[in-house]
Amino acid sequence: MAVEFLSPAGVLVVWVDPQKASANETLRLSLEGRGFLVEEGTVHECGCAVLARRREMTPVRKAAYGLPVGERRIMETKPPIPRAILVGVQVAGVDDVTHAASIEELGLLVKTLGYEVVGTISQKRDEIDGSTVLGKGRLEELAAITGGDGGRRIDGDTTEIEGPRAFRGCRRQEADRQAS
Amino acid sequence: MAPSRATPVGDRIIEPMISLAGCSKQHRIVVAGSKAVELMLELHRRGYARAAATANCGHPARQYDVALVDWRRRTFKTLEVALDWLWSS
Repeated sequence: MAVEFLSPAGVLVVWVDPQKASANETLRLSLEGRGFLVEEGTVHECGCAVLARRREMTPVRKAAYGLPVGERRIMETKPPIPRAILVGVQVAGVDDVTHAASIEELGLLVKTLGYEVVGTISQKRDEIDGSTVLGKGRLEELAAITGGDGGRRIDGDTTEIEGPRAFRGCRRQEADRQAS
Repeated sequence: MAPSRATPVGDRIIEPMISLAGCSKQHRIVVAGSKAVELMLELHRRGYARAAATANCGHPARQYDVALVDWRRRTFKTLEVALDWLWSS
């Protein structure tokens, strides 16, 4: 009795670590031995993947299921665009307009660095806390978005810590550019 | 600026996998691998509400349109076992 989870028109995607061509060939043969045909492959910075479909899905049957009928091809994908959340602290003495302008400028600099800005978190504080920059509540809010740990791990690896440091770097680069 | 290491698990491969498989949000997807549940939750967050992991995929009844197998950092031998489980006939 057949024990199958995939529908007859279903597709199987297997993602493995970067490996030698011979290992890819072994994977292809393994899938073909199970009645699949590898239709596409993709190479990514963190591995490679193959898309396989049942061999008995002939072009006529593919057309019946509304699937594309074509030759096997290799597809190269670009790494995803890294995403960034802007974090701003409005300290005493900085008015709302100036703060908003700084955030806007930061967004442009981050975009220039190749990041996609997906959100902004801003907080008014009397001074910048030396360890976490943001307050506990805002850190938790940021962690909820990024999947981070809310700043409990203070080792410089979290977005919360990297952001201001990179911002200062951007400001230096901008100043250098304007001076030259 | 280095990307945060706090990126959710599977985040880097999930988009290419969806793209490669041509998944729509109506597709029924089963996810296999050591982080299958996390990948399933990530798919749910992206609107693929019919995604399931191997832990909660039910009995085999040819009910899934897509199988996503994340077999990074695992051996080829165990992959064959997983493929047999998904597709033995």
